[in-house]
Amino acid sequence: MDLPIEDFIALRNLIYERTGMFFGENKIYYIKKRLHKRMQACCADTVHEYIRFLKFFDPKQREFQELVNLLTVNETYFFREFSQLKVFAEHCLPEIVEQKQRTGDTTLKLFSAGCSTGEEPYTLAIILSEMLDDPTQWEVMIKAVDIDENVLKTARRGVYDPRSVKDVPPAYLQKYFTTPSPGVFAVKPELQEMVVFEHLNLMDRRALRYENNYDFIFCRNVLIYFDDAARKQLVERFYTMLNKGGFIFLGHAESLSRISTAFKIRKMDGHIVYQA
Amino acid sequence: MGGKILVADDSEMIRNFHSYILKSAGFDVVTAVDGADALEKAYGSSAPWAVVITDINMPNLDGYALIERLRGEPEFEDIPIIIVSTEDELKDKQRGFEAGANAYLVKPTDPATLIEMIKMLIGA
Amino acid sequence: MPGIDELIKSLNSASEKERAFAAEDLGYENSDESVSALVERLQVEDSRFVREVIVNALKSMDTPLLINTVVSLLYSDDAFTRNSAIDILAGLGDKAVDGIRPLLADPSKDVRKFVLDIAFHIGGAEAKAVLAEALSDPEVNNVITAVEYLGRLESTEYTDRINELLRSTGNLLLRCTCLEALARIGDETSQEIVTRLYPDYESIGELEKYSYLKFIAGKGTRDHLPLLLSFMREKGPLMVKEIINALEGILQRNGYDLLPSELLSEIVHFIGSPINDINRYELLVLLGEYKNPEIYSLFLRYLQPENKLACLGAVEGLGLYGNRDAVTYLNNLRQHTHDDELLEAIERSLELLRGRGGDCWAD
Repeated sequence: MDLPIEDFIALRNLIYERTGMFFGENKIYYIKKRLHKRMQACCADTVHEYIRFLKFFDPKQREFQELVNLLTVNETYFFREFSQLKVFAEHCLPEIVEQKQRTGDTTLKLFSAGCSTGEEPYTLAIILSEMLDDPTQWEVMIKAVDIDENVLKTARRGVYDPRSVKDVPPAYLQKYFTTPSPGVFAVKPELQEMVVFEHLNLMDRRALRYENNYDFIFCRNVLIYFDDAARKQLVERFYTMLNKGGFIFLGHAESLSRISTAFKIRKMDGHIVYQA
Repeated sequence: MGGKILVADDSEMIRNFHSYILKSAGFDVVTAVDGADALEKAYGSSAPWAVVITDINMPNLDGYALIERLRGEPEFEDIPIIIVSTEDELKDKQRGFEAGANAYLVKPTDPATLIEMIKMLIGA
Repeated sequence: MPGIDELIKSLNSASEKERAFAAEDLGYENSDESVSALVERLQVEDSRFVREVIVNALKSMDTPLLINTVVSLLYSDDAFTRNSAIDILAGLGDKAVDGIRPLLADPSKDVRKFVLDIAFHIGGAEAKAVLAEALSDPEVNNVITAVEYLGRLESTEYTDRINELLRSTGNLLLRCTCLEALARIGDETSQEIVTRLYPDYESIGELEKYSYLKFIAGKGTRDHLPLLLSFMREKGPLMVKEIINALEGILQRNGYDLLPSELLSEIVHFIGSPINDINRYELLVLLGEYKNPEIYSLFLRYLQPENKLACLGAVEGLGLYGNRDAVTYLNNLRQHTHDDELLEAIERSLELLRGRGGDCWAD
């Protein structure tokens, strides 16, 4: 199966315009492989045919969503998208901390949307513990939500395998995890205390109305699974949840501007970040 | 003459046509489908922009709003911005200059005029 | 949920958040009264965020008053308001077409243009008919827009009219737009007109070259290959993308086992010239379909993992080309790279070669 660049670009543009997710040219093989599967499912002989199908014969975007699901990596692990977390830790967090210190506010609220088995919120807890001068002086709350009760059970237990912790810097592994048995890593209680896990359906329009005063929202590689209207609704909700000047983080290949232009774009350390 | 130019227009054909004119004159061209896309691309680039060329009527973020946001950012304060629009009334032009545009051309673009305008703005 | 009067009151609250929640809830009310309240607020609201919430709410609604109320916003002085109106009307689909069609006769060329934007996003036969009407718009920019949109919607039912425009217009941009639309929906008449307008390379204007190549990519034949060679020689670095697409288009539509030697030698030269790696990748994969002996040695030349994309192209090309001698080289490459995608592509090519007989794992 051949994927002419012209078609690759057409497909890429379609995906970008509809979801905000962008695939660089180095992803061509990655996309080719997965595209082949969807084309077989739709009985499309050429990529051109498949793209036409997506544009003109998929009004509810069901096939499009299948494609998107296939193209997105669903794995989760600690310190996923390290460079983005570095920007959070070294630029965004200090900015908020400084503001709060000026007003004497000692709360820090973070939200992890679609937290799955908990790696992301615990990662945030580690970063806060490391970056705050005196963590005991702060009331930290990390709320982590997911629609799937099973993954939340795992998250609450806080026990992980080597694959999940492969990117944890060794010093942090020692400091924040115990190893009850070989190849088993358990987050220490002081981290667990910082995180509240909750069962929640992000598409329930009333679900987050009473959530307020967040400083950071992490919604990485989650929005792509929603349709356009639901995505916009959720981002609206996030805007009302954030304090003025609060930050929202999406997956590194996702862009918020396709969904809402109410946020301010800033560039920090070569990364684009979004601020309410 | 060289440099990178950002072209924002919701018409594929206008984006193409401007690309042809600019590429033939030796520029690298990045296109954006609307103002929001243009803003992302403006910020997303590591290399500086020589010029930004934008339409007015575009979905998600219109041309005036795009220009205002660019001008609000120190990095883009001084970038030459040219509006190319079908809107040809005086009030549209005034609005454009108020937002921070350096020049205003009415569609359809005359290729030679566009290049001359760019040369003048980048001081070539 | 609070009553509608209360919601309308909250829509005018001093709190941005309250206004946003009220707008959202009024959207769910889905009544003419809520439409009026939202549209009224949209025009005075100064928070970008709340404006977006209002527009999203209106987009989810469908009431008797909605279309006419929103159509009036197309005349607003404010760009955001106008764009929102386009967005909302486009979302209503076919039922909005009747509401916007009369505006094709509006004295304002800008309003007529907005109608086209809405019709394009709606798509469908009725919307295409609206676009076709605009092919006779007195404002050439609108004609250009209509042609572009009809092309993108693959409206072959209007090919004749676009052929006619191509034949008769003196406007450069319109000519380019017609060429690019006809690349998608052109027919034999289009080819005749193009050949007559551009009998040779010299007759193609500088800025028309790109659009011409696009037409060739969509509708070109073997007869265009000599012309394509001229493009490759004269405009290689500048128009590389368009040239490759034109090449792919013609080759795909015409069965060749062997490429004409002049063409092949020009392609090889092209691959070695300063083009982007992604284009190099594409050309190498394309060559895999053909059996000229020189192609095999070209692949081996690019089998260097340091340039990932070119190497990937060579690997995939070798799989397609089918010379089982390549197995040794691919196995060797496998030892010299850790790149996941390259390794995957190597496995795939080895499989393909194995499928041609024998065991490519025996090395």
